[in-house]
Amino acid sequence: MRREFRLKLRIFSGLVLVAALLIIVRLYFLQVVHGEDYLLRAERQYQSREDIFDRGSIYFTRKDGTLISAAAVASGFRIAVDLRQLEDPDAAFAALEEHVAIKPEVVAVVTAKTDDPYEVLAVRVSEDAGEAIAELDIPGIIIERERWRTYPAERKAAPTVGFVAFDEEDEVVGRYGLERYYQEILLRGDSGLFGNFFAELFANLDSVTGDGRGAKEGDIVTSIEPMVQEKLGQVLAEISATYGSRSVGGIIMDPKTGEIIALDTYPTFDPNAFRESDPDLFGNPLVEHVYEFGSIMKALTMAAGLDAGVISRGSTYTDTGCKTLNSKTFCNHDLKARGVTGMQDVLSHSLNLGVAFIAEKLGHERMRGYFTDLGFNTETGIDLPSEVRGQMGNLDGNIDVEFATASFGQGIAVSPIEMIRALGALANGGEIVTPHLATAVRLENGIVKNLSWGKPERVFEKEAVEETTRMLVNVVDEALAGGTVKVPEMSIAAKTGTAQLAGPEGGYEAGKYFHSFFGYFPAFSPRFVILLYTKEPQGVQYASETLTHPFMELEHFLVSYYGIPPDRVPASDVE
Amino acid sequence: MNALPKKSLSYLAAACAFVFAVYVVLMVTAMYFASSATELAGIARSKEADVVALETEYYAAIKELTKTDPASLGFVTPTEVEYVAAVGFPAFSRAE
Repeated sequence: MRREFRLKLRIFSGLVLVAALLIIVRLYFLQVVHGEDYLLRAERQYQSREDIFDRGSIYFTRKDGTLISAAAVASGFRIAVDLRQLEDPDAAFAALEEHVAIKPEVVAVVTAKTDDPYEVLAVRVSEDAGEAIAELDIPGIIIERERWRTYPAERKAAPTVGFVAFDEEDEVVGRYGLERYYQEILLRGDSGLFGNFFAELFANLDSVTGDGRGAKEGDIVTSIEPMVQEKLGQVLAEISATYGSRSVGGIIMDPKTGEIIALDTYPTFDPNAFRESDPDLFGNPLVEHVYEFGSIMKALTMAAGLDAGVISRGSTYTDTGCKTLNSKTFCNHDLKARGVTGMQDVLSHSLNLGVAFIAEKLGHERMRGYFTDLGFNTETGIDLPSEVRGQMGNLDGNIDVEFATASFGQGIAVSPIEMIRALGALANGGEIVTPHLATAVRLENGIVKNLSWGKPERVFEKEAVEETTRMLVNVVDEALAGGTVKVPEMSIAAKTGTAQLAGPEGGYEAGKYFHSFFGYFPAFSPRFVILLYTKEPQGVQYASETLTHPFMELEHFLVSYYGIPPDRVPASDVE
Repeated sequence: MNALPKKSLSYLAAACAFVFAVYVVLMVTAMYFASSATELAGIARSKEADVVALETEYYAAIKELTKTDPASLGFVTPTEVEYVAAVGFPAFSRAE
């Protein structure tokens, strides 16, 4: 019995020994093999006075599928000083300044407080500089790990990406753009890396067996293509520089999926230095502002007329130049009366009376129905915060002149994102889609969750859209800039819009215009739909002057960058 | 009160030892994976800074590239462009 007990005791002791050995071996690796690493970390991290920042990334997606960070977390060091332990301040600061720039005023303030245990000297110090300072081993110099939000894309799509900042509860949260919209996904709990290693070793045991956070925390993958985004930004800046506009904006969207390839506004800001920027620029006018877009609306009125069957491409009307409805007079932009006029001329010469004729044929209820179906009084559902919906109140009643002016884009105001969603119907066989930026969420647990943005909704029949497209292609080939921008081997459908700007006391202000331009190509199987606008350009009246060439520059860039093949044979090649 | 069967104590002791051993093994395994996960996360995050630096360079490069006029680099517009209609590969067919 006693022998048996001894045997059991030995087995038990053996097991305990094995377990102890395993732990010792593991500890050996941690403390001896990787000891230096952890020591270096520990030295810095134990002294950290606040939680180490962590947050998911926001990615742009290159055309080949490579992800490029638009918002990420950068690592570095914060250098502080414990003046009680600092033996020779002058020598210490001189040694530090070889690796990091410390402002003289900071040195002056800090050195005056001789018994201060903690004063920050420099923040966001690079890894290399931090390592070098650590090696100096200066008594009293505190080196802390620091991580912070960085935006490598800088000004590109800044109002869309947004930025993080402290909220009322002193927490770093997404304040604008995608940072705010996807706050719950981008937010991280304690990462467990930069605290006390052994404490985390045990504290993190639950994350080994399963961590619920991993299923909701992740990175956001967007459809924004960095090269296209850069090009759009440059084009917008150029428009602003040329015409001194109050603001400029643009969106490039895939009309079939609603994926936004690029979007931007000008002027803009650098989210890495938002404190030095004008806060008025932080919002996103593409979703938060509404504008009267003017004549680009005519393409939609034309499609509605064709879809309802109240007109055909061969229809005509008698153009009187001006017309009075409900005691209000509206005219063509050039005040000219053209007599019997066809539908192609309505778009080619942008005739207000022509689309007012279509609106009359449609009738109030049907026109209101089309504009409602196009989503002009609903939010698009884009994944950006603070989206507003259009103001279509003029169509609530039954006043003829309101419907007539709405047909050419005056009197109703919509956001640029609503406008491109509606115009996208012309480039997508009559169906509208949900414009969106995020295509996937890369969860912390490794799973990539592709996002679904709902089914397209049909507004126009395919035939009506094809007919409208043919007319818009004709606009580019023959009317736009006198036909000089025609691309012989590529069909491009486009339309300009010039609207008067409403003044603060009602009515329209003389000499102040809002220019818009939209187009899609290849016209009969579009890859992209583009919307551009500029508010209050100086010294020009019509959008054809300000936005035609920027649009064509983007078109040429996209065709070349994506290698879009020609979709028609130049007339000179046809025998 | 009936006495326990003779071997019960031995079985219970063996079971206890086994359970304890399993507990130790599981604890060591959990520690191992936790420390590995922490190490790997550390490596991944320290690389993030390098990636961000590379991405910043990438953005700077495309900024330059996009605003560069090809003509300034000596590229010229082709004098003649010819397009060839895409033709699908012929399907294999059995000779008659």
